[in-house]
Amino acid sequence: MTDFRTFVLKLVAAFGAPWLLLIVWPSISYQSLAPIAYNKDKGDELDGAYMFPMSSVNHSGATIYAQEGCAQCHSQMIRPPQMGLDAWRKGWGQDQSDRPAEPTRATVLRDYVGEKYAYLGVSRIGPDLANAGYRFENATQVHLHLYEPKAVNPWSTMPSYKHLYIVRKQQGPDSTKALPLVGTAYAPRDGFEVVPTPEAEQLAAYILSLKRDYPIPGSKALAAAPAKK
Amino acid sequence: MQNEASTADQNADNLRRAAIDRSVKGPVLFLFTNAAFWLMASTLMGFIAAVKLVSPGFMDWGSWLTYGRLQPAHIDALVYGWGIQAGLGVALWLMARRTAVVLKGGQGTLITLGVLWNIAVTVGIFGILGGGNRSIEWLEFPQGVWPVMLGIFVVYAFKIVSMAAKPDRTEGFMVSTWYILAACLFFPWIFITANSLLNNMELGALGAAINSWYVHGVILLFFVPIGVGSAYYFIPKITGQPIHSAQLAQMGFWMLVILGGWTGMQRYIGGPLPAWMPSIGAMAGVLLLIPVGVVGLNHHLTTLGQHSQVGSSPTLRFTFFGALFYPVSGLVLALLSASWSGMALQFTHAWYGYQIVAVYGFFSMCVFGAIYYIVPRLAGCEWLSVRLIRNHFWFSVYGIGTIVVTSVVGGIQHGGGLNDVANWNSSFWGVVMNSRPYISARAVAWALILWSNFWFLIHLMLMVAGLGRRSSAPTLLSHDHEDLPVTEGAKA
Repeated sequence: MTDFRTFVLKLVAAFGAPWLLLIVWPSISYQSLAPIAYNKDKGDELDGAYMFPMSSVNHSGATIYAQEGCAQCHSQMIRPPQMGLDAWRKGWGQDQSDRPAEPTRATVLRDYVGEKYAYLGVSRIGPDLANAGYRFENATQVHLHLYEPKAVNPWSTMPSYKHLYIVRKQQGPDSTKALPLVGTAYAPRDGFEVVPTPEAEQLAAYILSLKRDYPIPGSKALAAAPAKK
Repeated sequence: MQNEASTADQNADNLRRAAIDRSVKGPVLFLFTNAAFWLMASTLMGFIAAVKLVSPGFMDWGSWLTYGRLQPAHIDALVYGWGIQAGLGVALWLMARRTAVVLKGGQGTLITLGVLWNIAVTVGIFGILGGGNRSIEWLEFPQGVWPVMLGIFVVYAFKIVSMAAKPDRTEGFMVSTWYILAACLFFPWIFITANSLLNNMELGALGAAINSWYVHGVILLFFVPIGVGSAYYFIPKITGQPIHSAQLAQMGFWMLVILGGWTGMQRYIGGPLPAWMPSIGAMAGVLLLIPVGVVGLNHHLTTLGQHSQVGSSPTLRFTFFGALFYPVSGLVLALLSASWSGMALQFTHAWYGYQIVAVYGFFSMCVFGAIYYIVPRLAGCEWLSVRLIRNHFWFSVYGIGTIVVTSVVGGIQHGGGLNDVANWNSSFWGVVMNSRPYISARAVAWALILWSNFWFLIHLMLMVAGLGRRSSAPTLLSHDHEDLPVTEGAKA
C-alpha cells in the first residue's frame, strides 16, 4: 500500500516538473506578452513599438483553413538562415523575385499574437505560407489556385477545393466575382460561371493577410520597412 | 511460472486465473473487437490518403475525402479508435492478472462506457470529414467530444488503478504494473492539459508547441508504457525465464517517465518559440535512446536461449517484433530530435514514419501479441487458423517495415529537396516528383495491411462469438492444430 502511494507520488513529481515549467508557466506568461519598443540607438528606423501586426488576422478564414486541413501540407513558419533554406526560398518572403536582396526574416513568437492557435504545420508537401499574403496579388489569384491548382501548376498534387465554389448560370453581364477560367481546360460550360462561396472568400482573405515579416526591434539588418501594398 | 508447484496448487491457481479472466471478459472482448474494427477503418483511410497524395483526383467525391480531412481522420482512428481502446483492454486484463483482483461488478458500466467511447470516436471522425476539423494534430475532433472521452477514460483508469491500490497479491507490483499505472495516470493528465489550454486560451505559436508536446506525450507516456508493459509480461511468461535484470527494468522505466514530459517541442526547432523550449525537447528526444536501449537490452537478454519459441508462439512472435520496433522508434525519434538531422527532417515524411513506427510498428505489434494470448482465455476457445495468424504477422511486419523505411528514406530526400541550397529558386515540382515513389510504396503497403487486418478482424470476431477451436492446446505456429502438451502455460 505504501509502495503504491510512494510510487504514484514519484510519478507525479517526475511528470509534474515538465508540466509546470514547459506548459503551464509559459502559457500563463504568454498572456501578458508586451509589445517591444523600437530603439533608434540600436539602428531601428521605426518609431513606437512592435505591435503584433497579425492581431487583425481573419479569424473566420483561419477556421476554414483548419477545417480543410491545409496545415497537413503547408507550414507557416520561417526558420533562420542557418537552419535551413526557408529564408532564401523563392516566394516565401516579401520579395517575390528570384534573387531577394535580403533573406526573409525568421518568424518569432510575437508574429503570431492575436491568433488563437497558429497553424505552424505538419509537413511541407507544399510551400510555406507564413508570408503568403505577398505571394498572391489579389483574391482572384488565390481563388484560382484553390479552385483548380492544376490550372496554375500542371504538376501540382494539391487537391481541388471545388466544394468552396459554386458553378452557376450566368445572369446578365459577367459577375465581377467570376473566376477567369474562360479559355482554360477548367472553364465551366458556356453560359455558366464559377463564383466563390463566402467561405472561399474568407479563406482567401485569411491567406492574403498572412504577412509575418514586419521589422522587429533591435535587428538592424531587417529594419527596412515593408512596402505598403 | 508454476512449474515447480504441486498439482493441487496448480489447480487452485488455474481456478483463480479463470475467475479473474471471467470477471473482465465482457469489457476486454468488447474493447478488442471494436478496436480491431477501427484499425481496419484507419488502414483503409491510410490507403486512400496515400493514393490521394500522389493523385489528388482519386475518389474525388467532394469535400469529405480531401487529403486535408482524410489524413487526420486516418491518424485519429488509429490513435483513439484502435490504440487507446485496445490499450485499455490489455491494461485492464493485465492489471487484473498482476494483482489477482477479481473485478466485482461494474462490467455492464464498463461496456456501456465502451459503447459511448465508440460513439464519441465515430462522431469525431465524421466530424473531421464533415468539416469540423480543428487542425490541431491528434486533437482534430470537434470540441464537444473530448470531455466525453476523458470521462470514459478516467473511469477505466480508476478501475485499473484501484486494482493496484488494493491488490490481492502484493508480489505482483512489478515492472508491467508500473508501466500500466503510468499510462493510466499520464494520459488523462496530458489530455486534459492540452484540451483545456488549446480550447480556452489564445496561445498563438505556443499552442502549436503544446500540441506537439501532447502528441509526443501520448506516444511516450501512453502507447510506450502499454506496449513495454505488455512485453515485460508476455516475454517472461512464454519463455519461462524471469526478467533478466531488475536494475535495467527500473532504469528504463524511470528515465522514460522523467524524460517523456520534456519531449515534443523540438518538432518546431528554428520556429517562433523561445529557443530553450525546442532545445530541451531535442535533448530529451535524444536522451530517450538510453531507456529505449536499456529496455531493448533487457528484453533481448530475457529471450536469450528461447528464440525458438518466437517461431512457435504467436504471442511471443508478435511481442518480440513489437519489442524490436521499440528501439527502432527510439532511433527515429532521436533522428527527428537531434539538431543536425532534425532540421533536415523537419516537415518531411519522416514525421509520418515516426507516428507509424511508434503507434503501429511497436505498440500495435505488442498489443496483437497480447490479444493472441488473452482472447482464447476469455472466449474459451482457441484460434482457428495458423494460416490467418501467419498471414497477419507477415503482412503487418512487411507492411509496417515498408511504410517506416520509405517514410524515413523518403523524408531524407524530401528534406534535401526543401533545404539543399541548390534548390533556392526551384519550385516544388522536384519535391513533389521525388516523393512519388515513396508515397506509392506507402499506398501499396497500406493495401497489404488492409488485407491482413480484414482477416484479423474476422478471426477475432469468430473467436469472440465462441466459434474458435475446441481444444485444450493453444494454436501454435510450428505445427498445425496438433493437440500436443505445450509449455506455454496451461489454459485456465
